[in-house]
Amino acid sequence: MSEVLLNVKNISKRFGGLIAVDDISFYVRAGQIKAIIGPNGSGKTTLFNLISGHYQPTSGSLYFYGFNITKWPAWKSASVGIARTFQNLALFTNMSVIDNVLMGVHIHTKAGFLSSLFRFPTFFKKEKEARDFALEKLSLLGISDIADKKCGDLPFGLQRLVEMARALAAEPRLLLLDEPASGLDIHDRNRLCEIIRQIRDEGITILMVEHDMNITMSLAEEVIVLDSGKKICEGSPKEVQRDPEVIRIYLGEG
Amino acid sequence: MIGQILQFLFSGLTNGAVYAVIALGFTIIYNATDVINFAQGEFVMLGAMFMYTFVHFLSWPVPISFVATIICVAIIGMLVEFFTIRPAKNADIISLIIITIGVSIFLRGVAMMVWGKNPVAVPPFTGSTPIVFMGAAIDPQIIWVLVITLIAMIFTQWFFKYTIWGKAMRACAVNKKAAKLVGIKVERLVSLSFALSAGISAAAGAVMAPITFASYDMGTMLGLKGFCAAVLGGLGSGIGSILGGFILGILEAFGAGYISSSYKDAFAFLILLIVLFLKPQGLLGQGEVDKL
Amino acid sequence: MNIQFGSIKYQYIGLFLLAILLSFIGLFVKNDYYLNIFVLIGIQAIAVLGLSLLMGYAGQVSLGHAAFYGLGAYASGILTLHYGFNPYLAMLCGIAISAVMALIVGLPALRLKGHYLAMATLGFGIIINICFKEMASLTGGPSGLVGIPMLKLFNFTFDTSISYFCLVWAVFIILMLLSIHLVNSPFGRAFRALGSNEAAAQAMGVNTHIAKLIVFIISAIYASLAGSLYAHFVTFISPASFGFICSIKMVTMVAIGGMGTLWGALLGTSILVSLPEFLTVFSDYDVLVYGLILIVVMIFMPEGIIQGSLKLFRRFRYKETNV
Repeated sequence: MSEVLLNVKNISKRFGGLIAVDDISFYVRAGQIKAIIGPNGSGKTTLFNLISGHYQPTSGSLYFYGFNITKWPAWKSASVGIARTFQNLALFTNMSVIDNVLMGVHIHTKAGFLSSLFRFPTFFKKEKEARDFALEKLSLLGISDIADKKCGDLPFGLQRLVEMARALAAEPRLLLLDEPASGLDIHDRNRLCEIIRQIRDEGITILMVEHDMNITMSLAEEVIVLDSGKKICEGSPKEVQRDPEVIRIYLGEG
Repeated sequence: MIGQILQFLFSGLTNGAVYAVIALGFTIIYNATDVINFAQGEFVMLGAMFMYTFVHFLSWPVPISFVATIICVAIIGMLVEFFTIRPAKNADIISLIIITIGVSIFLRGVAMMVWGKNPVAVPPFTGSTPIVFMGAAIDPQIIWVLVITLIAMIFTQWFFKYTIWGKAMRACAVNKKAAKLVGIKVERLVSLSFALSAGISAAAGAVMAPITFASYDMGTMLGLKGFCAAVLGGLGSGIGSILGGFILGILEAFGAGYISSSYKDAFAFLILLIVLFLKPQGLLGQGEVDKL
Repeated sequence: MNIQFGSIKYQYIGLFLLAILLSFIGLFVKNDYYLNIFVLIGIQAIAVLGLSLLMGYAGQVSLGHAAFYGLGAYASGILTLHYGFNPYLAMLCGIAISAVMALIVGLPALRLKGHYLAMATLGFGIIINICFKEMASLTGGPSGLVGIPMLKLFNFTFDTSISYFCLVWAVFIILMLLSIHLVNSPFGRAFRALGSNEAAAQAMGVNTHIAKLIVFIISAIYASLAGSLYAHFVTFISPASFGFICSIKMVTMVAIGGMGTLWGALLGTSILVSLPEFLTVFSDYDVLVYGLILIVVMIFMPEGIIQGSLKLFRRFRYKETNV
């Protein structure tokens, strides 16, 4: 039984009168690929935002490696190893691919302020280190040839890969993937599955939100099902597929 | 003692009424277009200047001049929207802010050319013998200001609640795409919002002009203070704008009277800062302001 | 917010060319009237450079930057005139005061999403301007401060247009160099990321609140320095120069030049400072024309003249090859 990486305890989030996430609890263990599924509006993205620190929970708590990160803002969670991608892509479209990936690298490696301002030798050394590391991540995903292109000009599938490279460059322990397959064609989807397995083999734990059932069932070891902000089922893909509640919310009564 | 307090109160209510109408003007345009119209104060100024032209130059009777002024400035408001906001389409907020600032400068420039740099005197509506009320001398024009601005506020509230155009504008404010889908002609409503906003501002300007002199540059500070009132009440809330305007006017009058008169203009902006730091959505503003 | 066009090599070349251009101007323009215009362009360009970092890179607007400009000018003026401070020390004091003010205003304002900094700086700018007018014993009130001493370096006094021209542009070039270095560094990337997509920047470990605050303070420091240089140049300052109009002018200089580039700050400043000179032809119409230009440029070239012209250029090129 590997250790608990992320402990989500009775997390809730309200927006005024709307309860988007209602008393959800679960664990994510190191080295897992875990998926969260559920119909639209079930609270998946809100839950993600709570875990990554973009939203603060109304109640409940969050533990990362045993540390209480409930009130932590997103940038703090990012600096201790929680990285994420966004459903609608959140690339810095005005910047080049390599600059985007460098943003991930900078979480751990960057030249100092004075060194940057006055161009001390350490600046050039650190920049080269960062750049090499970024290129490595791009090669991993097979896209090092587009390093200098402006992100906004790239086709959607490539942009997805850039976003993933950027997240990987941050050397996260927990990678949150928000609908990584959305907008991809069948060829890219297969490639995505390969990449996700590769990432997990490198030792990174993955928590993903996904609509595509095939991808979810083939990749995930454990699945959580949400409906209207509540967790209604948790278990292996097979168990979840057979659960009557799950069948009801996806296929309707009778 | 009571006389002095009443004096401040009336002064505060008068200015407050003007601020309330200006704030209402901001809110109407903001709700229809998400734009903060920095040229709002110039509509007030134009109201005062047109009134001067009709009454003093053309010797028209006051009521006719008043209506003519509102119509003229409302038309100018529509022209501004047509020539400067509509072409900008999807410009980002910074561009739109600069455009309205450009409009403000332009209108001021035109006013300077047409009416000159010197302040002009607009004759009061019903003479200038002060009404004595409990030890305070009240300029009768003040009553006019309160009456007219009250009418403007009531009209605006009635317009939004009970007329089809008003309701349509409220629909636009909530969801523009949905409004378009149900057949609402958004462009016409945006035009109407500018006309309405300019019209009531002009009314305020026309009625307050006899109290102080009117000049080509009176609009800037008024517009900015009206903006402070709008933020105080909550940008986007009509009742909030009215409330904000009166509160601002009264606080300003008492502050100038009891704390310091030379810093009078600073009070409005101090209140703006306090509101932004303590409750950015204002007294009646809707929704949580996203904190990051 | 657009890509910094060209690699850093081109930036260095550009700076070098600028230095050469300035040398020519310095050598051949003998008329003090025109030299003074160039000096004013340089001084304002320093302030606008800082503002363009805030607007172009952090994506925030300040509608009260004249306050920092004025604080620098008055700090230099008051401390040297009334208290006999060393002018360079006074300049540093001005910078410190502006930095602290920026911290006080920015800390709460930048916590919020959207354009609350714009509104807060609007209020702040006007309040400071009123203080300049009312604290007469300190600032000389509406009539201002007269007789501010000129700058000296060892035994040399900067009392001629040409000497000030050299001083101001030397300072500008140094600051431009530092700004270029800043923008092309991890910090610059973080600022650009923040201006592009704040949530994503946070997901990349950028404490966006602090980052925005830092850029705001930096922009205030540039403005304060420019204000000090202004005070020692004109030797007479009054509150009228540091009001709402001045703040708006600075914002439009950034916007017209182009918010995504540092060079835009220089271009915008050059155009808008020299424009009134050309507009005197129109005499009374100049205010009108100024407003008209603002409107037209922002409608048709919202990314600024540099990017807008590049776009037009690209479109023509494409048309030509598309036979």
